[in-house]
Amino acid sequence: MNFDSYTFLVFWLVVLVLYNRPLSWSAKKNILLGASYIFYAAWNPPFIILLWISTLVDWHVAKKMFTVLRQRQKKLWLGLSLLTNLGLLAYFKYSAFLLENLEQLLASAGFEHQFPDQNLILPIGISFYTFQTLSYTIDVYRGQIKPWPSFRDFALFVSFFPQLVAGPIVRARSLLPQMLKPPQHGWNAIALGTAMIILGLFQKNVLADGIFAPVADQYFGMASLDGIQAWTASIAFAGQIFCDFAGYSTIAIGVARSLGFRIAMNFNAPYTAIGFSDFWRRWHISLSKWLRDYLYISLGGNRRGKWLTLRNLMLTMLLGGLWHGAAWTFAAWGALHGVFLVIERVSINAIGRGRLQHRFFKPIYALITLVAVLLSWVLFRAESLQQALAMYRVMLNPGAWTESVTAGADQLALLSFALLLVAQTLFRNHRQEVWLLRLPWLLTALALGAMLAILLLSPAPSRAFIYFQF
Amino acid sequence: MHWRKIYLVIFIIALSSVFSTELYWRHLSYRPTVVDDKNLWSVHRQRISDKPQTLAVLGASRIQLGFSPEVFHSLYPDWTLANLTINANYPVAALADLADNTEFRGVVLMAIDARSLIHIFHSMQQPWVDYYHRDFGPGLWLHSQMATFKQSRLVTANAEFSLTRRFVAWLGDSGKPHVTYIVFDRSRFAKADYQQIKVDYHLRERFNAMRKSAAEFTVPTADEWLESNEKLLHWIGLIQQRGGKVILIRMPTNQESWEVDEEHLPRRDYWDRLTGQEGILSLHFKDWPELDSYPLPDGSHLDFRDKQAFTRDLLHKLKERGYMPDSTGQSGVRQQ
Repeated sequence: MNFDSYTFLVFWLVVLVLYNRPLSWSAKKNILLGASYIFYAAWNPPFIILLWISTLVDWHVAKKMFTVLRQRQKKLWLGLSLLTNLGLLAYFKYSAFLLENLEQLLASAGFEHQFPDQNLILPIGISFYTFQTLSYTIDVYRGQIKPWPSFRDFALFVSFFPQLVAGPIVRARSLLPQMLKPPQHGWNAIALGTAMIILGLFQKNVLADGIFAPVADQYFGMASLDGIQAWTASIAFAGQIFCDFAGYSTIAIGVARSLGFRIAMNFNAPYTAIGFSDFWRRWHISLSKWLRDYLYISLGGNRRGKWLTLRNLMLTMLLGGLWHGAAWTFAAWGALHGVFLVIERVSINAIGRGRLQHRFFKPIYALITLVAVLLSWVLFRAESLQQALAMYRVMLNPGAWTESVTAGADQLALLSFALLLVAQTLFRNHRQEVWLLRLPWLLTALALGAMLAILLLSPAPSRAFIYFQF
Repeated sequence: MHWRKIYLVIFIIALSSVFSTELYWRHLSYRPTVVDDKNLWSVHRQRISDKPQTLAVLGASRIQLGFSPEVFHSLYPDWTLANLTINANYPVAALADLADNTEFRGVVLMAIDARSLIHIFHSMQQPWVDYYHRDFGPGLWLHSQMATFKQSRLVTANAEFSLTRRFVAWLGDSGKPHVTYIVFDRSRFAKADYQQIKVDYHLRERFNAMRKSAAEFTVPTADEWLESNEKLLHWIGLIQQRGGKVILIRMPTNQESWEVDEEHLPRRDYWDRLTGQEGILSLHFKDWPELDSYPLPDGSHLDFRDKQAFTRDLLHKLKERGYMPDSTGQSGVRQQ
């Protein structure tokens, strides 16, 4: 169920009405669990079985890991969880990619073999709920949390509909304690949550779908581009993916807030980042933290010397790239960010963090970061590595910058991106709900009123959220 | 926090903006129309079941503008109608999809011509079929119902009138949207009002484009064409073996269009050889003066004023040839 659909509007209103009836907390949680399963099944009902498999396996694995005494047995149970969750993810998301590459490898060795086309449908949100439920079993394995006593609460943690299909990836230690007692909900929570939903829908439908996507689609769909067009495409896609995904996260946080739950923010003005590690502290924060805690640290983090630290950074970013999709473009995108982080780490080691953060150097470093991030988005959006390389050739060669920006859509996209940068600079390090509450009420009302009006008057052809495919 | 005051202001701004913008567009003679997208196509595709009294209409714009669901329902009130036509996209992929559906044993009315069966056009409707099987579900069904309801009532519900698109058009100095002469409704059939446009201009444009395209396009030989359509015959066979029917219809075109077609894909070499094969049910407008007598303002599409009479004539002919059963409705008598 898409957040920007009428179906969701009806669904959310029904849930709010039921949830705010004078019922016991347990009954309300049952309502949320049922609603979460309906939310997921509204897309493709049979795939809810996968969600149930993950829930059941991780619930039992966590309990078993807590009761067994020997470390080896614990490891076996953790292995079962990893095998089940990552196995399902690998089968649905990566098997076609692996077989295709195997075919090419065999062909290059002189063996022609064609595997049957599996034609698998990727279960929506599988990458997100797999990581969410894995974090629970790994935390129990590490002794950081105890198995949760209520199966219903755990099932709700895995399937909580506001963040089920595209994050933020919430940790058990953050969400499960909120289920112990009824959170503060009611009119104030609904009002604040609704305001965030309007804000998120404005980002998604007006900015991402209405302004940025048409420009990005047009240029990324062209066979050859001039340098200016390639830069415009990259900037438009940077705007699109931010507004699409941050918009989704804002709606998710708003929907959870309307039910009284708090979910940590997933984006914090990423295009104003000063440096690449700063960028990853601001972009898709819940995934960055997951990769840091469960992959980078598991690989040894920075505890095993300089070279292994750099290797761990590269591996984490490479796998992070592949998490986004089964394609070499995503792997290259992750690897490129790994290279950025490695260069940054080496530079800090060589000249010291203080110099890099000097107030005269900060704006230059922020600009370098932004330009590098814009370049990296080309890999993320391109249909193939060849297309990305062709775009880089013209982007990095000022001699190929011959066209000027004359199309109205391009001008609007570039202007909107500039305004996005201004907004991110102004509200840097502020949670959206905090500045919504701190602004004078009339200003909040006028801004949200204008956003809702533009939203209602800007119907666009339906586009799924970009991160649904991951 | 002053939430009551905030939401009062929000709703006043939002509702007054929508209301005034709607009035503005209507003042300029724009009218609401349903947006025919993949969701709405999927809503119709979902109507396909094992019920034998199901008519699946396949084709592109000619039958989309020429078939009246009202007339069909008045003649066959117990039947389910699934409109799987897609403007500007030929229907072979949709037929393959129905053939793959082992439950389906209804009637397929497939509007085609020889051009639409050239192999490179076979997968034109595949994206709609894929969308239905991979993406469509109960959530999108409900969304489509509500979106269609809104689009049929508000001009501003149409993406063509979105503020961002209008702003971009204004920046590019490309003016206001064209007043559309084609209006869709929930049935996905459309009504074309050719009195609203300069038909002569459109006609000339169409023929120029058609002649240019026909001249540039390398047409396969009749043998190649027939060979590439063996799959089509297989799919027709699958449906008919289950008790269903597939009726191939050649919709009317005017003399000039007909001559272009005859020049490149002569009927006797293409259409007649395909439909002459055993078990193929077909109907060609040139064989029936009634069907060939309707005015076609742009050369190949009916004005909405003629579609009811045309549909009655068409269904009458299908019944006469035994392709459709006797109608049970009250308007079964052909009207002149």
